[in-house]
Amino acid sequence: MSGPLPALNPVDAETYLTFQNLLFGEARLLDNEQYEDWLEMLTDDVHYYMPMPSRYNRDEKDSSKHPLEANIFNDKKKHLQLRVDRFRTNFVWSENPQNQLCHLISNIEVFPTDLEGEWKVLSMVTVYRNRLDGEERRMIVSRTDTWRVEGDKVKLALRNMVFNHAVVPDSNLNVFF
Amino acid sequence: MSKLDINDLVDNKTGRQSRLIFHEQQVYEQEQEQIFGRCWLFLAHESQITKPGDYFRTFMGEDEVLVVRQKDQSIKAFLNTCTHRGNRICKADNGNARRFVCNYHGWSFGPDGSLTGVPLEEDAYHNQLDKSKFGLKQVAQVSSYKGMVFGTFDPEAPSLEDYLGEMKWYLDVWLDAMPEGTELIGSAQKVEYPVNWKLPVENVCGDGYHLGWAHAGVMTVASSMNIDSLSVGNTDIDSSTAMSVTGMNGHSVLSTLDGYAGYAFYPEPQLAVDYLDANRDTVSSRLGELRGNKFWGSQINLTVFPNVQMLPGLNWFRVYHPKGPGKMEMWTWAMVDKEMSDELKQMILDNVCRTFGAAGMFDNDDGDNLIACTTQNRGWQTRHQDIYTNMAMGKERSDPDMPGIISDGLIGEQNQRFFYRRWQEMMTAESWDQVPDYNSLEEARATEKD
Ligand code: FES
Ligand SMILES: [Fe+2]
Repeated sequence: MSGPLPALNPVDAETYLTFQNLLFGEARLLDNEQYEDWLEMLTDDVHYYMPMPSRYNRDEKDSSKHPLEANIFNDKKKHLQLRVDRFRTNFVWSENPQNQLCHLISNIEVFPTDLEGEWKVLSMVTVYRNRLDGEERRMIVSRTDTWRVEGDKVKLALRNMVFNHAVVPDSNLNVFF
Repeated sequence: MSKLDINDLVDNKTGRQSRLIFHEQQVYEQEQEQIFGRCWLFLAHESQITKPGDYFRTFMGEDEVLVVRQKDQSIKAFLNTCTHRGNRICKADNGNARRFVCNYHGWSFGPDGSLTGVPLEEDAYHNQLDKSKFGLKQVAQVSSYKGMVFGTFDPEAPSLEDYLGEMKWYLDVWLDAMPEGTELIGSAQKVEYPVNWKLPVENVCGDGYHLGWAHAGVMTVASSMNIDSLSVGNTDIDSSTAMSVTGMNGHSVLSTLDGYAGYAFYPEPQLAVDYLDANRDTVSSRLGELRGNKFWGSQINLTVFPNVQMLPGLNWFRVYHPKGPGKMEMWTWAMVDKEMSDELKQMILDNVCRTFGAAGMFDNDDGDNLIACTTQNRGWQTRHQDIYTNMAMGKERSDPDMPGIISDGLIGEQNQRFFYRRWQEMMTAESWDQVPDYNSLEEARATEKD
């Protein structure tokens, strides 16, 4: 689907619930650090993308853009795999002891696309972390996903994310959004 | 609390630092005045502001500044604060402006900082305001070295070239290796840490010791080349294949000598290796065989005192902005040679983000260590303990072919000692005459305080 999205999401309740369950299930896998299972939810050509936000004046938002943009994530599956492999070495000291981690999912909207078996899914995730110092960190990310039927599963093919913080408020992003 | 004597807080002869220097507000205030108020500080890369009116908003210490390209292509910088009641003039990160208009009462300033417009100048001020006296406060000196724009608030500061001194020989391994020079690409990755600003500088300027340990996880999965001077888990190393260099008025270098290891932490470095092979002769003819073969392409950490770090190969460029004794903001960019292909630039940008960006697999190992080194000092007993950078003391040497004071290997604490020595010298000197100048072992020994 191109152009602005309609005000209301036009899918039927059953489709909507399917995606709600997918996103909730995904959040549970990430909270439990079941990263291999999470990678299974992604297509092999997944693009996992989060640009670094910049503040421009409204009238020059586009002209000030750099031709190459810095990204917090610009990952294909092999890069996500590399991040998971790093966690699995057990040498990532900042994740030991295990930190409290909650992915709170909201604002889910599901839209059909022009392609059969492909949907655009909007959602917001609040990642809540609580670590050794007891300090609470909350990061809010808006997600625009493409989910696609692959075999007998619906898989994540694209996650385009907006990181809603001008300055990253945590000392590491050892998490997925 | 009574006034602290900076002379007691650092002892270069034993490598001792008092932990108070990471905690005390009065030490921090003195740093703002003595170090950030006088040293040459990084403002922008020329490639960020190419057209007249292009501006970049940044910090010098805690002072917010605007760096603006002028009509005649020169560069000016001024405090980002309105001379009327003190509001911030510009809120965007960067852009292009014909004038800067204050949001509070509408005063407007030209790209050169002069006050050009005052609403109701006649009706309310009765034309009594001398606009020429209310221009934005200028940064005293602004100067560039091979694409890097620096500024100092101190009109008495030595020239930028003199300030960089012998460090230029090493900086040129990146800034002057290729004919067209370098450019910053992408926007800054900005991360706020509850960390004293000196700790990350210390970490990158000389601490090769932590690499094989703190970063064991990512080094296990992301290394595509062996580096003899490092090993996962710090098991065994060959110190003859790398070196630390300092002296040089507090600037420092950490480098392998293989000509390739800068790309060791790219999972698929081939494109970069091809680039090195294709251009090594060019670089050697410009910089000589030693720098062309041994340094260019190596894993190099370059630190310009007080708060700039550049890592060719890993290709990132970073500035630390202090935000109080227990807080700082870290800005990281990718920096590349202009001659590189778009494909290679994109590969480098992505790898910078993956290794040292906000979700960088290396950087994400350092944060918690540096935070704890800062926040543990909240304990009164804790902060009244001293800590040491005393590894391999007395092993420094000179080399007739390169400037600076050299220790073998990536793993050592010589550079950190000289960082804190320079810190102390700047903190105690009342004028630049009292800041010693040293580039060799002999000069460093002759100027060392008792
Ligand atoms: S404070 Fe800027 S115009 Fe008044
Ligand atoms: Fe590190």
